[in-house]
Amino acid sequence: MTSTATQPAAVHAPALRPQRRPWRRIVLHGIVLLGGIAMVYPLLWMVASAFKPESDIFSDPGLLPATFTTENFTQGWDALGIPFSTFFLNSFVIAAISVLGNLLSCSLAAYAFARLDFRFKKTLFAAMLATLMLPFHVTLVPQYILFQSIDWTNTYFPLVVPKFLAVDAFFIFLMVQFMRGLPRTLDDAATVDGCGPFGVFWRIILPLMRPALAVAAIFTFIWTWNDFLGPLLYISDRELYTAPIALNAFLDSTGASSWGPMFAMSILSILPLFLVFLFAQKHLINGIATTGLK
Amino acid sequence: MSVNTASPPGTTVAVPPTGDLPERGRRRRKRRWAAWLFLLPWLVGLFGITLGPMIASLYLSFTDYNLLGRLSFVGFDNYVRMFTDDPRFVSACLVTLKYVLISVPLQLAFALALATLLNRGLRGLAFYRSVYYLPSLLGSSVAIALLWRQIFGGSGLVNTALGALGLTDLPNWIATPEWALGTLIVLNVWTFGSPMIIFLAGLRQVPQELYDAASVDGANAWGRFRRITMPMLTPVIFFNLVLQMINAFQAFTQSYIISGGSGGPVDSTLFYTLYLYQKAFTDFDMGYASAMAWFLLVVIGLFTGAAFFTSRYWVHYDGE
Amino acid sequence: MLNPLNPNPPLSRRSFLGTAAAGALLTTAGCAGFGGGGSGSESDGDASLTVTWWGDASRTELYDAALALFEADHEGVTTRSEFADLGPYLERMATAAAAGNLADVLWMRDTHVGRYGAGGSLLDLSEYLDDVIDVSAIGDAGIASGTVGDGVFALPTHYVGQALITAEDVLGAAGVSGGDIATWDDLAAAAREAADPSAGVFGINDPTLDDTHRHLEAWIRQAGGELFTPEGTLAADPAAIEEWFVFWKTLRDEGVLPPADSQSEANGAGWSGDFLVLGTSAMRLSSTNHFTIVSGLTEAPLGLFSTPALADATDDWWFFPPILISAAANTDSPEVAAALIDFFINDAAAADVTRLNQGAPSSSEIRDGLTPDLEGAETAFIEQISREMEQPARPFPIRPEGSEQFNGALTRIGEEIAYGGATVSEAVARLVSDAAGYLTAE
Repeated sequence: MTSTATQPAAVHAPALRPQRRPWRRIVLHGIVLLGGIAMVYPLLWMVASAFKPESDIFSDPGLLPATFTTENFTQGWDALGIPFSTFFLNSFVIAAISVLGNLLSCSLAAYAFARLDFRFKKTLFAAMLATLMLPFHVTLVPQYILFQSIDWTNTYFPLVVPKFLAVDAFFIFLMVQFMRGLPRTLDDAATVDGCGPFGVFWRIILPLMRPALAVAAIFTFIWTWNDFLGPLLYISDRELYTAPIALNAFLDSTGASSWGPMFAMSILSILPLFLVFLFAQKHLINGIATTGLK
Repeated sequence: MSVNTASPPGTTVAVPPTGDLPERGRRRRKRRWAAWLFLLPWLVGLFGITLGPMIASLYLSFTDYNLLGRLSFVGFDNYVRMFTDDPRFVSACLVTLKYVLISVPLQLAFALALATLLNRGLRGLAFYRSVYYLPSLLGSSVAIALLWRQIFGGSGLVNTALGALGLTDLPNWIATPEWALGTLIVLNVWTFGSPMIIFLAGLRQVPQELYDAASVDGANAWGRFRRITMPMLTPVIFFNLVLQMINAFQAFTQSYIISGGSGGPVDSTLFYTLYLYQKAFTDFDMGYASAMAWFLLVVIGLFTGAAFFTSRYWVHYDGE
Repeated sequence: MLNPLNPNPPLSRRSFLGTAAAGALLTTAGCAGFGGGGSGSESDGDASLTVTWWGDASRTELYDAALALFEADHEGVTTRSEFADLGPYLERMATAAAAGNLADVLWMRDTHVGRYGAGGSLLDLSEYLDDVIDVSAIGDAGIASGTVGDGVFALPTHYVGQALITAEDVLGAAGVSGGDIATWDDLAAAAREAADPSAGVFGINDPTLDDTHRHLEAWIRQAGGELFTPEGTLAADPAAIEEWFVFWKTLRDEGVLPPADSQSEANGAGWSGDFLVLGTSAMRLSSTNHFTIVSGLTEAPLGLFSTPALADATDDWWFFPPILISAAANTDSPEVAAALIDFFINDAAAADVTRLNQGAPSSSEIRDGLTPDLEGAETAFIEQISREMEQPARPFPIRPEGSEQFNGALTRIGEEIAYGGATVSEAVARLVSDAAGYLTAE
């Protein structure tokens, strides 16, 4: 799955042979690796801290704990009287449903904006972008009142239903940009062959959009998983808490926070995100460059 | 940017458009009708969820509203107060503008460079991609606040490293008004994972045939990047530019967690939205906060409009 | 070449539909989060109350246990608790109040009771006093601390005082003892003695960069003034505020205080990064209840003493910021809510569980009942605050709307002065003129 971009080229064109000079690869690897270390160092520090006793976290800056303990994990796991697995599961359910909602609703809207003609198109597109530009803090209270008036507080509905209504304009715009980059000749060919707009969307556009859909899925999952304010405002039952709300339970800004368990559970909370990313990026790289247009 | 690559060789792959005109006209009409079906979920969301609160906040921007019941119409008072009687508002504008102008280009450059690099035939690509994306997974975790102190504090990692090089008199980066914003810019650049992933996805959509054809033409790596990759990537570059700009204008979380919500030291990291938040939820001046929000919307709108205006000169859509 | 009608498009429909099916499955997997709304319906005699406080999981464990006791005593009453760290707690409270959806019983900040009380979000407890809520053990001062206008909108469950905490070993090395510090001048002298800039030891933490300013309030009351007028405007004499900042600026300039950047970095690091805990500072001004926190984080010997006084201080300057409890105006069960408030103030069994977690219990009886069971730092704390509560204390006006903003402005001018961005007189003049804009009499 590596080098799909260059290898065929090299095969077709002997002229490119010099690119195979080993020292270039080594230098490239070196740069990427060095950058990688800078990227992950702070995270390694977090992992190390999770295995340190509370008192060592700030006094012992080393990456290898002087005293190794797993107590932060055992202590953190049950700190709320409910095992953390419950919160992870809750977060997972919300994030998974949100991914589904965003992929469906945003791709539909994006297709209309990118490929179809309709009245007020420009106005609606501008309105869509404008929803991105207003800081959410001022719509927070009206929105809360709205959801409360239909008795949706203390349910997941305020967190997931908007996803099925394409409220996140980021993804619409993202998909619009990707769709506009797809050759229109493909649509026309399909249309000639008798495909209606929905057929074109489903058979041509969606398959070719796989990288963009993967991006939308990754981002939706991660952003929903990490969302703090939504669950904070809408969820009251402890059994329904999501991971970030549960993580907040280690903090006490008026007293002493439990940093050790907080780090330990934070790391466990990143783990699923990392796995989702690893899984989804497979779809990211299997774009049309390797499948569609060959 | 060169526009003359608008039709790179190899794109006209499919069947040439045929069909008589009346036929197409009927389809057009059908499509128009279909468009509203495609838009339906979004329209329901817009009118059911998004628009109401937006209009409410626009109305509140003309009121004195303290969240707990007091609400009186004050006309343009809030807007006037912003520009005539609020030095913190002005300073928040300046801090935010500086942040936008520096961190957006930096972050995009990093993201594009890394995406191009990681799109090449490097062994262990999947691994590197994940590593570079890791910081972006952290979200708004409080852990970042502690991390940043460990790195940019008075005796943090950066100063330890610089000290080892023999430098002395090093500032406390995170707690010095002159430098604190810089550490937030670094933080933003550090989490370049999101635009990078979008670039990567964009790169995967560049048809391989174009490269093959160019290689036959004898183009070298730089030539291929400039003549094929860049033009084909412009829609995605445009997207990242607009969205990162919007994000940067609305930057909130970084300063909120690192300065503990104060925007300190001495308001040096007081982002526009953080000040808006303070006004709304600490000072209970929701009317004023709403006015700030709508002013920001106008500013972002102008910047975005400008980006859209210039886009016709440098953004190339293969599909159009 | 791509065949538009390729029966097997690259994105397999199966995988797309598979995801959809999985999502649908998750939805129906009996997730409680998709049940009906959480409104507390009640039939005669039954009540379900939502109770909320700020703090972390360890506090919640204690208070949940107390709530279980309350439920056991009150047939048909069920409770549900919510909690969050202070920042998110306040944001959620503001949002819920705007929607008229506050928790039935909630802990209230002394800085916010004026606003929420006047705003009509809170239940007036007046009619429940004596009848449902026994206030005999918290006294008139206790009632006054939650009285806004004509209504009693909150009552204190606990008090936190303010005090001086010393690292006795660091002070001792300089030949001083915390017990000798009675006045601010004594404090300055001791800090100068203890400071050793070359060894990275500071005389005292810089309180002007803290996010609360209760020692400044003490200073002003000692000088015979108040921070706020009963009408809600600024009462403090600007000269007294200036003297406070000059006092600390002088020490900072001498190198007795930590430099502004170090102090500000330490403040952001929480208690684990506090100079007193790290052994690099001899003293700090603190809330009295912080003594138990600091004691838990360091092995070094610590001392707990009263806030220093001005040489010519009024003798009735003492005051004790309350931790307050309120009921929501929107509660369906005001009677039960009031009973729960009484429970948290007066119930000995509850206090046995919650102990000193939020401060010193407001009820003198509960305090006396707890004292024999305490040990170490807890005993020192309770004895210190009990001793101070014997002192004469003139009432102090409730914190008005805008006091939160004033508090933030104090921190900001503290920073400007400490970082050298403004002179003391400039900064204080701006503070006072700005305050006239938001501290307005109703």
